[in-house]
Order: sequence, then structure tokens, then C-alpha cells
Amino acid sequence: MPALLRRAAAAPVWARVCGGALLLLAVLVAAKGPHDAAQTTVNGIVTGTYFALGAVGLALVFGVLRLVNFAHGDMLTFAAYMALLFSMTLGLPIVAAMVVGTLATAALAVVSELVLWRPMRTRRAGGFQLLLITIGLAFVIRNGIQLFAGSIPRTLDVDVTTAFNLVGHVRIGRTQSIAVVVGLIALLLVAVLLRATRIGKEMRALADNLSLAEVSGIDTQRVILVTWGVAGALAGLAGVVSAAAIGVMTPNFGWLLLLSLFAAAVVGGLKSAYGALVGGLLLGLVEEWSTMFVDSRWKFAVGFSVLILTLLVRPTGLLGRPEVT
Amino acid sequence: MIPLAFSFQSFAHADFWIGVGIVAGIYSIFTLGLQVNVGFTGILNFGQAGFMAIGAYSMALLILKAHWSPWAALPVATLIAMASGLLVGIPALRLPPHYLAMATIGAAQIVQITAQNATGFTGGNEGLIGFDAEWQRIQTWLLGKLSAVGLGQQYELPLFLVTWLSFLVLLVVLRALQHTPWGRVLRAIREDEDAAAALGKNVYAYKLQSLMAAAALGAVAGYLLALNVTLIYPQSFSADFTFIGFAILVLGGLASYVGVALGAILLWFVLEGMRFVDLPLAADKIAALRLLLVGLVLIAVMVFRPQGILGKREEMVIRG
Amino acid sequence: MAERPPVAELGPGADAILRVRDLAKRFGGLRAVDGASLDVERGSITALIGPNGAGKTTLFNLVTGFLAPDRGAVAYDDESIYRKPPYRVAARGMMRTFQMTKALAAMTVLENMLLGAPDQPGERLLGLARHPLGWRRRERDVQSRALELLERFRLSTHAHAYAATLSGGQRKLLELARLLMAEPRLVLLDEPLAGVHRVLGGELLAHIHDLRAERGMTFLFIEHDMEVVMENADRVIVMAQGQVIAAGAPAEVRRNRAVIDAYLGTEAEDAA
Repeated sequence: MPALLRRAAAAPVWARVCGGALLLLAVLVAAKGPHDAAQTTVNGIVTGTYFALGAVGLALVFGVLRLVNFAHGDMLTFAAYMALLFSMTLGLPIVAAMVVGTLATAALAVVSELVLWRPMRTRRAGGFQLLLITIGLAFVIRNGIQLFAGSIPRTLDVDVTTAFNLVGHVRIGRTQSIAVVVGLIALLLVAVLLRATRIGKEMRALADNLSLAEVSGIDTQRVILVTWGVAGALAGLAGVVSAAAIGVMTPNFGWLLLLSLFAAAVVGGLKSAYGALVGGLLLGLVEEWSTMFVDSRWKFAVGFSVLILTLLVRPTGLLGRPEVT
Repeated sequence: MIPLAFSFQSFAHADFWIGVGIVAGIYSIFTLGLQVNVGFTGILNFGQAGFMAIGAYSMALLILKAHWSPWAALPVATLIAMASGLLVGIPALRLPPHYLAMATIGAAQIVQITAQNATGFTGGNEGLIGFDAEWQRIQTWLLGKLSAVGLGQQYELPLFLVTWLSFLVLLVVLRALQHTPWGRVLRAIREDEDAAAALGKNVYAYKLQSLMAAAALGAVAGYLLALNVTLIYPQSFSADFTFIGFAILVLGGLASYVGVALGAILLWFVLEGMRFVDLPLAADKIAALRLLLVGLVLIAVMVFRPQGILGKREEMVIRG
Repeated sequence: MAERPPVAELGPGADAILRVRDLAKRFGGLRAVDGASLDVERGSITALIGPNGAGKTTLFNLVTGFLAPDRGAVAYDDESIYRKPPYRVAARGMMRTFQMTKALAAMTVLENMLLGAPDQPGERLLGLARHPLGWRRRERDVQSRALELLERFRLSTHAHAYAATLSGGQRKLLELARLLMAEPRLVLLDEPLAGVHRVLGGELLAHIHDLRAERGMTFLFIEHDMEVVMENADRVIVMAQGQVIAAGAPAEVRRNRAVIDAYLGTEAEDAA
């Protein structure tokens, strides 16, 4: 037995995390029965998908700029409401409207870089200033949306009723299954971008060591701009996917998700996009699994608790590497 | 008839502005706590609303459930808030600034969610009432005294006076503390904690003290808020409250306690003054417009004049 | 890992104020300090040299508690300070300066000095409450001592100016003067002359010699300028690639094959 544990401890972090999750699932099946465990796992994958989309965007911006973007959650809301706007006022079919919403959010991120972040960097603004600006931006976006669209819950024109059985009585909504597929494809594309393309390698280089990247001839301004675009697109996709999957949206919904997104990104090691991906999926699973034990209104508290626990125990995240001083 | 209508009008206005003054005063005391943390120690406490909630709920629960006198409940509730500051601070203050910001928001959100959902204990979304019996008596007595000078009709004036008197006392205490060696160590920590540690100062302990002080100030703001609304319910203690506090903080200027009052008065007089502008908007949209303004204030100050109105350029040395 | 002969350790008879054994720290794949051992003799002025990236500043950080080592042992005055937090190390009498000078720019020169004083009850909240008059008295004493030191370092005219207004060299002097308020017995200086005007640099070195002569203070300083090292150091310790590779009198070390290789090796890398 000890030999097995030793081999387990020596396995790469990936394997340990996946192994741990599977072990946890096995425990849950034993505790609550296969149906509940399976259903919440399915729900968890849905939630985890848009958590992952949101968290990866956060991690990309933090990695390249060392900026925690408190307005990130509101970018999700922005996308969802843009989709609503285009589908309602311009009569676009909902899928097209969602695409437009995603692109609009990418545009918003790019514009914010050109108009706000780049000039502030030129002026050597400190981290505190930038942080408060993200909070101000969050207020502006969130309340701007409420100013125009009001605070009553809205829905996107998606099919919220059709559901089908996966295995046995475990159900998933049709919209949600599409959301998962789309989300996972997007995440895969991002992973490919980071790994295989030149711009992706440059993004990783900046995240690793900004000053080194600058002196090795990388056009950092361009890379930062692309990072914002990608992060904005991911946030946009997360926003439309979550609005579709959850079914209703209010101007606050992105802000309410923000701490869960932080938790996912921190668990994955704030700088690491891959970590945020895994962190998002894990957190989605954990939040949904928790509904087997506590009332679902405590779900958000679970997210915050995971955040705080991770910050206490292992701030570099389960998958992150320690910061080089 | 007409002179009477005018005097009623002006009364209504005076009452309105006194009410605004109370809110500004509550925010001022709340933001004094943020100033101690951010402006004087350099720690990013985004959970101040949580400490306010803990103070207010503790006070109300001690009075309502444990049947304590408010004179005992207030100091003990303050100690409870300070203890929660210690509880949050011990793990959180070891973290770098952006993690500390997240951890403190997370802690405050947990407090709010608990307040909403532990309905048996906290009354849930309906909240707690009835804790202010003693205050009502004091208020009546004060109004009696004010009648002697013809101000007996300004029902909000007693709370206004108590709020601003509290602020002044706290201001004096904090300024005195700043001019002590203790205050000097805090300022050093704000600028460069490694330098302070290299000189033998236990930086961690000072940060804990700073956070506990802020928690106490948040609690006091919480009591006054509770008395103003006569109801304690979770929505009052949202993260928005903390961020409005930050807007006041940066507007008035970092490292200036007087600036806190200036920022609060300015911001609230503008926000509430908007009520006189006849906007064809529904209530929730007007609320959104006000918070939008707060966001713009935050951005504008940080972009154009980060040291705020009363802050000094040299003081802009927050590590970030 | 090859066993390194103990090059920088003093014999058991020697009076070592600082003893470091097999100290190590890695960052991911990088072994910044890789089993370094050295002794610093009490009352000496010792130089720590080595090519860039040798691990000198990391060693300082590890020894003074600003960075947690992975393994090893550190003893100051025969008491272990391994992994003790920096404020405790400083309070015991081992203090340091930083490569990027940490004169507190937003405070006045005098306030910087007052900060350095130990035993000021007014720095603690309980102290303020329990000694309301005592701390004021202590403040006055501390202030006169601070002004004396500033006088000695020729900074007294700047006493009430913000430290931001001082030149780089003056800030290094301030950093040194400030920590002298605590009367440390071992001072670690990280590149004290970097970016400093020759004249001020000369003053700084003169102060170091005077302090050693008057008070028997020990100094360990990181330096790149070999002339400065030759003229001022009693003993030189050489690091390269995270390890201590040589130690001895300046003239010996200069001729040491391993040291020359280490420096040349870096030059060859730079040229490649």
C-alpha cells in the first residue's frame, strides 16, 4: 500500500488532480447513490464549462498584465445582453446574436486596452490604481446595462425545456449540451492557440517573464492587445453560454459569478490558462456536487469557500508553479 | 396658506438634506476604516462591508436574543467585529495584494450569504427589527432638547448629530494615533514592508492591528446604519457598499482622514441631489444611474488625479 | 552533486559571527543557491563577490529571512536563525541593506531615522496605552541620537526633507545611518556602492572602517568593483553558480584558478 501512495505522490499534478476527482466521485456515488452523483456530475460539467471559459480569460489577462480584472464578470453580462439586444431589436436568430455578443465583448476588451489600459501603462500607473479602475469599469458596465435594460430577469430566446436522457434517468437540457460542446471546442481552440501558434507562444512568454519577453524582440503591445481580444471573446462566450444554460439573466449575474471565476483561476494557479481550464471544470463539479449535501442556495458560498481555502492552503493553486522572485 | 406651503417645502428639504448628511456620515466612518487600511497601512481590504454586517448583526442579536442592554451590546459587538477582523486577517494578510483583495471580498460575501440564508438566526432577507428601543428613548430626549432651540421638528437631527459627533471623535483619535511611532510604522509598511521588516518591525502584527481597527470602524458605521434604517437586513451590506466607500476614499484623497469626510459629503450630495432632477426613469434605473456615476468617479479619479482632492502626490506610493 | 571542500569555513578556533552550512534554494528548475557554506569572522570586513547570477543576493535573502531556504543551517552568534522571519533576525542584531535602496521616500529623513530605533514603546498600541509619557521621552532621546548620526553622515541639513529629495548616494548613506540606530553587530550590505558618486562612496567606506574600529561591528558586503574589494576587504568569499568556490585574503583569491575560471566562464558565455 505505501508503495502505491508513493507512486501516486510522484505522479504529475495533472494525474493527481484527475485521480483525486475520480476518487471523490466514487465516494459520492457510494454516499448518495449513482443517480444523484451522475446527475450532479452532468450539471457540474455544464457549470464547469462556462466557469472554465470565464476563468481562462481571467488567467490570460493576469498572466500577461498581472492585473486582476474585477470587471471580467461584467463582461459576461455584457455579452449576454448584447445577444439579447441583437436578437430582440434586430431580429437576428439567437445563435447569430450570441456570436455577435461574443464578438462585441472581444471588441469591448480591445477598446478598453487601447483607450484605458495602454495609456495607464505608459503613465506607469500602479497596481492599486489599475485595480480600482477595473472596479470602476465593473460598476459602469453592470449599471450601464441595468440603466438600459432594467433589472427584471430576462431570457435569451433559447430552448429551455427540451431535455433528454443520457443514461438511465440522468438528464441534460438540449441547450446545455450544445453549450458544453461549444464551450469545450472553444477551450480546445484556445489550448491549440497557446501551444501551437506563434502568438500563443509569445503570450506564454510574456506570462512567464515580461521583461525577458520584452528584450527578446517580442512586440509586447501587440501580444497584449491579442490577449485582451481572446480574453474578451472567451468572456463573451462564457456569458452567452451561461445565460443560455442557466436560463435567466439579470444585470448582476456576471458579477455574482466573478468570485467563482476567481476561485477557478486561483485553484488552477492564477497565471496558468490550462490551470484555469481545469480549475473551472473542477469548481463547477464541486459546486454541483455540494447540492447533494446542502441546499442549492449555498452554492455560491461553496465557490467562495473553495477560493478562500485555496488561498489559505496553497495560494499558488493546485496546478500553478511558485512565483520566481 | 401660501407662506405655510413654503415653510413646509423648506422643512421637507431640510429634512431631506439632514437625511443625506446622515448617510454621508455613516459612509465617512465606514471609510475611515478603509483609510486606515489602504491609505495608512497599504492593505487592500475589500471586505469592510462584511465587518459592518458582523458588527450590526452582533449588536442586534445581543439585544434581541440575549436581552442585553445596548450599552453592553455595543462594545461587545465591536469586539466581535474586531475578532472577525483577526480571523480573516490571520490567513489573508499573508497573501500578496491581489489575493488579499479576493480573499476579503470572498469573506464579506460569505457573511452576506450567511445572513441571507441562516434565516432562523438572522431573520434572513427580512432582517431584524426592534433592537433600537433604547435609541428611540434617547432620540425623544434629544428632540426635546432641540425643541428648546426651535429644531424639534427635525426628526432626523438627533441621529445626524450623533453620527457626525462620532465621526469627529474618531477622527481626532485616528489623527492622534497617526502622529505616534505606531502610526509611523504603519506608514513605513505602506510604502515598503520589506524595509520595515529589515528594521525589526513585525509587519504582520501591524497589519492585523490595522485590519482590526478597520473592522471596529466598520462596526460603528453598522450601528448607525441600523439605527438609520431601524432594520438590519443583508442587502444593506453588499460589496457595492465597500466599493462606494473606495470611491469616497480616493475622491477625498489617500492618507487624509479629513478627506474622507469631504469625499463622502461630495459624493452623497451629488448622488442624492440627482433626485431633484426629474428623470423619466424607473426606480431601478435611477439606482443604476447613481452607481454608474460612482463607477465613473472611481475611474476618473484614478486616471486624472489618483491622489484625490486632499491627498499629496508624494503619498501615492501604494505598492500594487 | 560533487562534494565541495569547505573553502569558506573558518576553523573551530575562529570567532564566527555568522555560520552558513549547505544552504540551498531552487525556483522551479533554477538552483539559485546550491549548497553554500561560509563563515564570517567577527569584527571583519568581508566581501562577497562572484559573477552575475552567482546567488549572492539570494544568499542574503535566505540568511536574513526574506526568503525561505529549502535546506541548510544558518547560525548568527551561535544561535540558529534558519527560517526565522526577517524582523526577528534584524531584532537580534543582524541587519541588511538592499540592492534597490529602501530609503522610505514618502517620509522625511528624520522620520526614517526614528523608524530605525529599537525599544520605542510608542510603536506598540499597548505601549502607547501603558507608557503615555514614557514614549514621548524615548522619542526625544531617539531624536537627539538620530540627529547625531545624521550629523556624522553629513545629512543633518536634510533632516526635515522628504527622503525622495536625496540623491542615490545620499539615500544609501541614509539606509546605513538608519540601521545604525538599532546598533546592529553584523551588517549585510548589498552592493552599497552601486550607482553612487565616487566621493559619497568613499564616505560610505570610511564610515564602515570607522564603525568596525570603534564598535567592533562586522560587515559583509556584496561588491563587483575589484579595486574596492582589494582596498577594503580583510577577507573575500567567492560564489559562483549558487556555491561558494573560494575564500581567503583578497590577493590570494584574485590569483585563485577556480575564481578566474568562474569569471572567465561567464565572459565566454556572454561573448558566445
